[in-house]
Amino acid sequence: MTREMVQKISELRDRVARAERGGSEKAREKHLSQGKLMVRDRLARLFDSGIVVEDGRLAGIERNLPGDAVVTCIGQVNGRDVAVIANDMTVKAGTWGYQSFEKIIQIQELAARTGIPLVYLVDSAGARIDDQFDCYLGKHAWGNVFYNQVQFSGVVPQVCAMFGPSPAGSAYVPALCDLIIMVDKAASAYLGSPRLVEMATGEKVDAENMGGARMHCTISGLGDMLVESEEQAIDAIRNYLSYLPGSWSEKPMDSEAAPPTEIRTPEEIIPIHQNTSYDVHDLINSLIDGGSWFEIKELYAPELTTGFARLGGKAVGILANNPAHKGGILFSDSSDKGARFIWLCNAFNVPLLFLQDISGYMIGSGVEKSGIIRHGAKLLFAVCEAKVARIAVMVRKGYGGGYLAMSGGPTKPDAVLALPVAMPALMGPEAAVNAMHYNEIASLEGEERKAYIIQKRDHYAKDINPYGAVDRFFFDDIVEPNKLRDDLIARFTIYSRRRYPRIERRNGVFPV
Amino acid sequence: MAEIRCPMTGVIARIMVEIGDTVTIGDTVAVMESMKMEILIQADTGGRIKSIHASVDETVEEGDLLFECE
Repeated sequence: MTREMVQKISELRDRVARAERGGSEKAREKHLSQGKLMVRDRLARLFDSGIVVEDGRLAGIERNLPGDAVVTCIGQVNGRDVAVIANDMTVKAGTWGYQSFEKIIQIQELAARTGIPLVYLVDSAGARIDDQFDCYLGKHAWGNVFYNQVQFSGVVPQVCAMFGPSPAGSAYVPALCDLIIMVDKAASAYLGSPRLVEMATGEKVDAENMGGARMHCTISGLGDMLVESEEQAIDAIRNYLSYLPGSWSEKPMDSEAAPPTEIRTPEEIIPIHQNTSYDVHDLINSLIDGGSWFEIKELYAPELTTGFARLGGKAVGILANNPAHKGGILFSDSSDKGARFIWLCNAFNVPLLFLQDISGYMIGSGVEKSGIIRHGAKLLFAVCEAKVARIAVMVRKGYGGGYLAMSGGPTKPDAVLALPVAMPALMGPEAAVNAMHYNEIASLEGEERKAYIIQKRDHYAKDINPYGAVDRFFFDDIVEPNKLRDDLIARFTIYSRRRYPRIERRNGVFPV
Repeated sequence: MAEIRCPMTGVIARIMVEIGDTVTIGDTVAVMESMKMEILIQADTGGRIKSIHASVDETVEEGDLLFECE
């Protein structure tokens, strides 16, 4: 090799080393002192065995902006290719510049065209204001990243972990992903920074209270998962992707089946009295493969439990009313939560299991003002639109609109099953008797009135059992609780093979 | 000062604590009835019950102050 060649190789190696090191020593020290991982250490934890292909590694290097503050690369997760976009906070505070956008847009398009998931590891101070016209107005700028996220929504899985801030417009990068994992006390998202908010409106608020991870995972609903560390966030991405295929046209991977870890049986867990509270997680754990529960939005609207699990090794999405919170009744937020989870499962071929124990949508002036009807319609819309295999199980109560929203028979699931303790009805006995016999009740007084109500109520209650419904084939079967798991596994295996005719339209007009 | 507030509209069925009782996170401090369900009201904070702002058979709304702890 000539001296010139040695020189050229050395120049390249020097640049690669600088690019992989990231920002200045001071910036790196500051980053590490906050307990954060360097961007390439995050990638090393995410991938099975390191980066396979990386583009734009040397973008920005001549301007001392390694990678232009973002790493875009492909590596393997659970043995399958995954594309990653990862901000480098140590380079100009992870801000997005023009080459950052070009790199991101290119890998988004590659992921969509090759049918592999997109992972966003967000840690950025936002757009680079000194490049504002390129970033904001340019035809390949910021807005293009959102445009691509929307084009590829439901085409390939898009998941985001937030390790730090994602302020202003960049808050829409996570918002347009399917799942957002937030590191407690580190991640934040807000449209205006605390400084900007005070300047514009006079409100004094800190970043954590305004747009911190815990707030978003409990109150706003932007966050799907609150984790304590960056390591947990990365492990959660790996776990999440294990339930999904690479793209919409494939099926999720199967795993080895495992018996449930819950030691009590469904028959021991389900309280016989309809109004007694219990935690539906116990029932879920008595049905699913041990260790397979992956909950989404655990801290938000917990009256509806949503998450992935495996039944006999096959991925399934579960929606379950949880009587342990607000009686398991549907509110506006839980309707939103359910609709979004159904859309996620439907997009990626994950069959749906509904565990019904619901006395209805919440009623009253407060929920009407919160838009319970249009939010409730959203859940109903998502249920009726779902094309994946779908099974509804009436565990205990299934009243009125709540029954329909939880994939009731008329919404055409593949099967509606009931447990022997199920109570299907338009409404509970008290409300029904009051509605049907209001005038008679009003015309009576004292003991006579009481006796009349009890007689009518008992008469009505006698009809509220699953046998009348199964006799008329409204239910496909009544299953012993302890045999439910095996029945579900057998049914999902069959239903998952089913195909659907396509309906031609651009989009439904979704209630939001 | 920590507060335990009402999770939803309903009627208080039982109050499970008295002033001076010590509670820890997750303890059931009251039971309410709403939408034909028994709803457990659980402490989301620990401490000693300083005051009680609800009584049995009273209708309460989401966000109403029920207990103060210290």
